[in-house]
Amino acid sequence: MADIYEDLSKSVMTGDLTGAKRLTQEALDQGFKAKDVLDKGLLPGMAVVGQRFKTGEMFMPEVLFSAKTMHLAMEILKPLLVGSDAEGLGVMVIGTVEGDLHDIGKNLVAMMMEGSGFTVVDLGTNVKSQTFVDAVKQHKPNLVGMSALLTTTMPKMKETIDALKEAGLRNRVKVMIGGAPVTAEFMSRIGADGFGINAGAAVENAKKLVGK
Amino acid sequence: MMVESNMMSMETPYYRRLSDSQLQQLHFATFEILERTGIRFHDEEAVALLRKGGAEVTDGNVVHIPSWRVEWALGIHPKQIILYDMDGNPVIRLSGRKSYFGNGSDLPYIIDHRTDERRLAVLQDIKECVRLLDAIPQYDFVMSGFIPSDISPEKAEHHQTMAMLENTHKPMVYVTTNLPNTKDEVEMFEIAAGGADALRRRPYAACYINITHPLRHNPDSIQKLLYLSEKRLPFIYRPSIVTRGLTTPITVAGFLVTNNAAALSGLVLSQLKQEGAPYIRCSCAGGTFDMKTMVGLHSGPEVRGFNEELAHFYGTPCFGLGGSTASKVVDQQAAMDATFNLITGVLAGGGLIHDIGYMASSTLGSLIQSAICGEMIAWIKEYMKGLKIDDDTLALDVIHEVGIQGDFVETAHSFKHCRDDYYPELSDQKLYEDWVSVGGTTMKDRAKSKVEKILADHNPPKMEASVRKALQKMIDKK
Repeated sequence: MADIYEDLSKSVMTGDLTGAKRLTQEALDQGFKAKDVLDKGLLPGMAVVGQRFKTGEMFMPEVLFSAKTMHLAMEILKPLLVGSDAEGLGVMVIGTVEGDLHDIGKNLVAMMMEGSGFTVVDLGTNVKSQTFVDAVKQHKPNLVGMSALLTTTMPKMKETIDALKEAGLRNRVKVMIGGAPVTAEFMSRIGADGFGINAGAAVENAKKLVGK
Repeated sequence: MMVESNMMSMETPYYRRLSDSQLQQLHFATFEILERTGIRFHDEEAVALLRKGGAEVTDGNVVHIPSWRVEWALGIHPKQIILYDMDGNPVIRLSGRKSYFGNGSDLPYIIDHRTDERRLAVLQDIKECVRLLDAIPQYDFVMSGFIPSDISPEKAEHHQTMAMLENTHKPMVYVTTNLPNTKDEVEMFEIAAGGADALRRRPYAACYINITHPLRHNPDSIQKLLYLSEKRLPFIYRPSIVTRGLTTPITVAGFLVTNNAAALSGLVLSQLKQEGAPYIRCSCAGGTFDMKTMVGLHSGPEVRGFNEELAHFYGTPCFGLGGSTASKVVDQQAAMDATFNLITGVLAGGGLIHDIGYMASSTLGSLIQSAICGEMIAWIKEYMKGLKIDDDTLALDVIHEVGIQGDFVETAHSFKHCRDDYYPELSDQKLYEDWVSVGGTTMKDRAKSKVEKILADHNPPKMEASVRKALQKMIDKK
């Protein structure tokens, strides 16, 4: 394993923004392939971060800084990645459902998913079902994530899933839901594929759903 | 009789965690946020009112409230809000550093005291909880306690309100999801009060409004504030669901000023809508947001006392928090956490101190924990008393009579005063052998017995049949 891969991992683990950019460029200059820089250098670092967050060794702001290093490194690598490699582990469309302005949890999931190597399209808050459907048509994601904090806006999740079915898109995506009142029972009831009890669990489950 | 000039005594313990100068610093920093950063109000009427009130508006709905308008609102808002019980008695005089005690409103889970099993709460649990708190004198006000999982979400609030009205006459704090539900709840309270004027003159219910983010206020919360201000019914405006570190800077000072800016902006809006609107300031929130588990906590030491000081600085009646724990069971952690934040809440003068008995960071409740917290309140109330110094208590003649040979325990003086001390109800103080002989019980055992006895014996005040009928009509309408 080349030293540069280890250094890249370390820069991700320590949230070293300047270091990650510098090393990514150096790696490319030295002739390493963009895909290898991502898969063998950056992503393993992020995997360690995920593990350390789970055990409580790393704190959320530190995790978010690690995600930021990934983001900066990806900006350099993206133009050089071909086809689906550029999407990383996949594409996720995420948003808070119609009638709901709560976004903290959704933002955390989006940041951590990006940090884990996904491309994230964040639709924001108060997102109508049709907007979700249009976004799926446009971005062709493998994951759709919906968030709601209010028990009164939870029904919108079912509405969106039904809208995806009507548009013939339901089978092309895995649907994940999240938010304080969301439970596994609710998830099965409305026909979603997965849910996360918190941002960390969401990312783990998302990876499992897309087979990564 | 002793005659002396310049004699002052302390009636209660004296506690402060911030100086006047520090409060001034926080106050002016808050003005900077209001004027420079501004707050986004997602409501046209609110923006129009604030603009008319002198605020500059940028980006459509970001309001920059000038400091003079804040000073105006601080001048005219009520410094005392009286909450009555349903029989018209003024039982809560919310002002200054007074403390009153109550539970919380919407826990999803309960530890069933009969089985020790954690399960989803149901409507029956709400009824039992309110009835329990009705019976325990240490609780001054009630909230609905739990979310009824056996009721559909659209009807839940009406059932919660009914359960409170049926099981106590103590003052209430209620929570609603949106404006239509708020109007319905108010209508229910008016029915039980005997009309809108009756409720307004002797309000027994305050609405607890939670906004989504201190710097961007959501439409539902703003509309509730405007509606209740106009009705002149008391409400609490909370600038965000905890989350110091997510919706505010992580540092306590940064949290305090962001929270303060949001609170003051809500106050200004309420006074612009209706001068003298009964605004209650939320002086809780700001607990640690655990950056390892991403769980909002209430039990930590960092922020206790500061928010309340700001409320007192402005003279605004406040809504505090205490008696809550992150523990998932009724154990030593639960007792420790609840004691720490209850006692600091009272010393700081928390006003309406709510969420007493809350467990697992606001997801779990237990009637046993609620009963134990009642005991904590009793202890604290005793502690908050001052020292009585007079001829009788100094007892100099008694001391001289008993002298160096005698015993005090057989004096008339001891006979007179032997029941003055605090003798706890639930805490056991017996000798070891005696304790064993009566069962060797734990605190949890004794609290459980108390809960069972109250639920078996205690009858809440009766509701008039005509009132019940009218309320039921409102529930069925939904």
